[in-house]
Amino acid sequence: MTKQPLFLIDADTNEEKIVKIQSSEMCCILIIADARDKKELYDEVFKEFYEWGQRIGTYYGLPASNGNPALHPFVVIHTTDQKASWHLSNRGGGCKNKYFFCTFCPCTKNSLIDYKVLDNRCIRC
Amino acid sequence: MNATTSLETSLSGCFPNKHASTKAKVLMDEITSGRLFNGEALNLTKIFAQSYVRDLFKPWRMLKAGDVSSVGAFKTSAIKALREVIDHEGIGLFPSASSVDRARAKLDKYAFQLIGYKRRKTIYGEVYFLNFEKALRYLLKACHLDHLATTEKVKISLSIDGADLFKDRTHVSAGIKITDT
Repeated sequence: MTKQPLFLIDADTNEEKIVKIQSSEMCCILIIADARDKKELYDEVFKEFYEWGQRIGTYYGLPASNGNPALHPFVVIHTTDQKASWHLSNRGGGCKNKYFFCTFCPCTKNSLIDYKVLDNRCIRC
Repeated sequence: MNATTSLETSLSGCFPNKHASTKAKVLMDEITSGRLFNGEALNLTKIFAQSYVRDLFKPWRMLKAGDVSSVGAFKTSAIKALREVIDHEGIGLFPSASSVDRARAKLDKYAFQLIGYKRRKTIYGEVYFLNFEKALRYLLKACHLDHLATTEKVKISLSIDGADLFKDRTHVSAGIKITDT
């Protein structure tokens, strides 16, 4: 959308490069829900979308259909904001309210005071 | 002798040893002065210029400008401003907002035929599902990755986000993006 270059690091080769991938012409909306942004919506309505993403990304790709060729499995990444990460992983939130308050590590609210910086605790929570 | 040769010969006679650009400028000066053929040459030039601008600002181009610009950058008010401010004499250089709307309706209809969608009523509200597979195939084609995808893994990303539509009304959209470079 912004047409501004984005800094990327290739996970396989660690190659750093600046590319223009912010073009809106490379995006396509697949689901539009006229609804409030809540966890149940992600669990029930958008589940189909993520299951499809998993199917085309893991083993199957897209099978041949209607004269179109079969496509290789895709490299699928999920680019969500923090709220969506919380909803989708069922983890994350207030560290005194949510049992798993971090989407990246196994810290739990019951052991909150046990974890110290650099001690079995991720750098993001 | 055709018209081009006649004009060039006659201008070369009037301005011997001058560059072609100089002679062309003299000719254009004469046309735009309105003296040539009782102003008919100038009238025709204006018609050509208007036709060029109209062709440049076709409704579908305005629609595309709105669709690919960032949110709020190019909207109906911009189309209205072009007509009311730039084309204040009402020559009809720019398309009307309604003609752009008609182009949008045509595009929507074509996209629905091409990709298809289904509407589902849920307890959370109305949800529109595009045909995932068709949309992805067309997106790959648009990015010239359709052939590559038959032999190699192409990178895509799935994303989801919610935003306000207007006061007290939100929507959530999910989509794909080609991130393969």
